[in-house]
Amino acid sequence: MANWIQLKDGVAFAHIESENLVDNSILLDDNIKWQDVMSKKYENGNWVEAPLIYFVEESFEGKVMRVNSTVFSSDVTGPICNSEVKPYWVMEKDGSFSPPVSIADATIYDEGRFA
Amino acid sequence: MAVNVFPVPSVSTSPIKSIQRGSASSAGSITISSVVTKKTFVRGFSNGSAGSAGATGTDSGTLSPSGGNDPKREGGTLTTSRGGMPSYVGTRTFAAGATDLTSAEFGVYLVDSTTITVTGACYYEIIEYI
Repeated sequence: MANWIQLKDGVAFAHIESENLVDNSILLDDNIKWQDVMSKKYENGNWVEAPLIYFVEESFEGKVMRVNSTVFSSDVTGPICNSEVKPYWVMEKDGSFSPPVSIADATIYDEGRFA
Repeated sequence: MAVNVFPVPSVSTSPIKSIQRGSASSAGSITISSVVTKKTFVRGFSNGSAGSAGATGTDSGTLSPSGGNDPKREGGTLTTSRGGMPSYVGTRTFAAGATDLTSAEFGVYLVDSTTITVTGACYYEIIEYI
């Protein structure tokens, strides 16, 4: 059966095996499997790695509660972050993210005070 | 005693005209080979998902420094040799809030003769009968 690939945001997101023509699809060669192109970007006739987009899916009182990642830009449902951001990181007002502050990270000023 | 003998069909034919199957890694609409909708049904089931989530809630209480000495500068070097780092005493508690975890099962449905919609990562089969 022929293997047809369909794109979302330029990335392979679904396949369907069908003996008949499937519109809006890319017909895979017999020697290429769905698993070989799944979540890859289709560029100029080639399948290339699609960048993972990390985003905050859920937050609570300015803290990150859940991070998710996707290769589909239209699936992003929250602020984009990087792969280091984890639950309990702080969402700053300027859009950046900071790890939770611990005493071990406190800065010692020359005056001999902890900040 | 009478014995009922049911007629055996001389030719066995499959009632299935076509099967299309596949999978999706995300929600969206998928084009399929044209089918007669009233003679077709679709079935699907979710792919698994995994990830991590933090519990929500409110922490309260105060930790206060106790004992120790602040670092001092001695000849350009910060030192605590004449004392030590303070210890922190007190209690901080965490009151759990709502459980915000949700789970979802994804599925698939036939939109029209050439389109199915999947609600998330799932496998599917489109079976058309004669």
